[in-house]
Amino acid sequence: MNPKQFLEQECKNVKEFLKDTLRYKYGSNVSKKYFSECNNRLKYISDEIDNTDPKDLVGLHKNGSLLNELTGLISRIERSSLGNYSWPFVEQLKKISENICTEQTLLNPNTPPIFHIFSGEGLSSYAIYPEQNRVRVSKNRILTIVFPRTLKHFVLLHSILGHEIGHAIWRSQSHQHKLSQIMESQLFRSGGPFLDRKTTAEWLYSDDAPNEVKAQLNIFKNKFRQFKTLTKDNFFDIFADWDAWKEEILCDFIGLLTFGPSFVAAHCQLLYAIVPSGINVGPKHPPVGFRVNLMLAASRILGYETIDGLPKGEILDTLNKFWGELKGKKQTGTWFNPFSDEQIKNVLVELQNLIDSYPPASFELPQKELLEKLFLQLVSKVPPLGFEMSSDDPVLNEVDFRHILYIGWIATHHHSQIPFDIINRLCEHAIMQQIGINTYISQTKKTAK
Amino acid sequence: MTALSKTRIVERIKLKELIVSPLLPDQLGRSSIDLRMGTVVLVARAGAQSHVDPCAYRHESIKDDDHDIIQGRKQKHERYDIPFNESFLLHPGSLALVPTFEWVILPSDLQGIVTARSSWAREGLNIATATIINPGYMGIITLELANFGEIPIKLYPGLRLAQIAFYNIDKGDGDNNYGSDGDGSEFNMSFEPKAGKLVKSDWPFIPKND
Repeated sequence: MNPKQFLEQECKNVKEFLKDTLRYKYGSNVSKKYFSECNNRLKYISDEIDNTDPKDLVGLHKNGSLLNELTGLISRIERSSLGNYSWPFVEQLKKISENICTEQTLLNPNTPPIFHIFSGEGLSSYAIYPEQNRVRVSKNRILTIVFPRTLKHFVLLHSILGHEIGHAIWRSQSHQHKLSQIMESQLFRSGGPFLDRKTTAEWLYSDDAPNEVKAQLNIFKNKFRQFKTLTKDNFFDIFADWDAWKEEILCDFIGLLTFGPSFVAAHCQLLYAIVPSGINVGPKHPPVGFRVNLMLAASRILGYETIDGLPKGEILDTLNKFWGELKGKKQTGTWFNPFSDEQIKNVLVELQNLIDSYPPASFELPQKELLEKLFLQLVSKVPPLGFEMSSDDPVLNEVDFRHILYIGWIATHHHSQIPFDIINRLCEHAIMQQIGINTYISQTKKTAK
Repeated sequence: MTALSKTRIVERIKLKELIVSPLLPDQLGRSSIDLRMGTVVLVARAGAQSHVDPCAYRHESIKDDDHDIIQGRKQKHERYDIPFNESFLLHPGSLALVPTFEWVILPSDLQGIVTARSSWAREGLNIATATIINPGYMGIITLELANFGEIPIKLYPGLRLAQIAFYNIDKGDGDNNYGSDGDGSEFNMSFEPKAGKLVKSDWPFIPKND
């Protein structure tokens, strides 16, 4: 077989593979869309290969790569059966991110993405693959959300996906320009170490950097010596990606504004689980301690640490314990806090304005009454949701799943010491039940009309 | 034993002594509460076992990391997640374990009895046994659904399939610990159905060399 004949055979193989995936039940109500999208792409690539001259090696290479990418997308289906991840959480995640992740296409100025979910390996597998480039014929962008398989029920930790929503937004044509403008004008160019690559490297290599950072940079120094010795002058040329660092900072802000305090808690929990020292300098990620400090400062500025009107007592004590422990994760030293409160406030205001335009993406703090009700349910080991029996008839209310997550995090500090896995299961159960309540409320409203 | 009337049930729920959460309108009967189907289904996997044999459970409690034991346990049932507005087809003669949509906590002085709702029973859908829920139990309730009819039944999460009635327990002096930390059963604090330990302390009646 020549390369063209081989690719034609591979197209047939991919078609069979795609059909085979329908043996699995994947995602709720999206199976057909995902299948059609992959099928359209396959038809397009097959036609392109058919029309390519066998001697056009560049054309064959290009289409071969497209076919490989498509096979990658299809193979994800096999790791995405419904039982592998928390579908109630995913339903709610889609709900808050669909509007802000729409994009302009020829068919529709607000084309929603197709969300595809699969379970990945290890704690650091949380991700949303944004699919920045795709074949021309595709109708929808596919956003692939990845959850660690082991953390299936740990919905409190899933709040970290707010950060990944940030990547999905950043990689969309609709928002990148605006987001860049906000970050540059309000944060990076208004003072601090992210003015340019040089200032960031100077901050990293400065005398007041923590000893652990100095030690790590010293280890890195000779790591690339087959090319060059790593110094502050070439740090962002041969080791780290400066733009990726800035993207991480933006995505942390988006995570905070979409998931609120639960994001900060998940952020601290997971980052310190992966990098216990909090100091690690990564090629794509700035030091953990710097990121955690930034999120804690932003939470303080947003007023997340208090709930208006919450009286003294058990709930306030538990809330204070929760924030006390989070603040305990703060790294000391001015090096970790290179931005002023004013800068952080300005960037938050502008990002909040943008996110507010795409409801229900934005997180809002719960009212004290709701917080109290959810708290009392959860510490009694009842899934916290919008149901009460104050009169002789049940009273049902819609509750934002992010409030359920927040109360879950607060309850981890309650004196009853309900284990973390049980709190997660109760919250996951509550999110599922709340979807049922919301379905009931919306259907009865429709019937009443 | 006295069954609780609707008024008494509502009173106990309002006092948060009895939890059935959430309740949607029309779930409260004159002396019972309707229970809705939850979003997981376990069905015995055809071909996984030739027959149910208590002997197979002999080593289960002592060898918790044994490949064959775990495989047998995991492959016994097919597990399906059924989100709202999706359905599950229960075929004639088949048995499915489904959780209730509701989370239930019983106080130390009440026992619950779960039975099928008669309107579904008339279609052939039965709760295989009338399940007793012990005082102090906390969690979902597992409904053992069987289709006794001749045609398949399509089931959707949220449907009211069963009902629970509550009875006062006549407690003796030594029974005061009911409900202090669940009911002590293997199913306490369940979030979804699971297979039970079939024989527990019945070993003396199981032949050793089988």
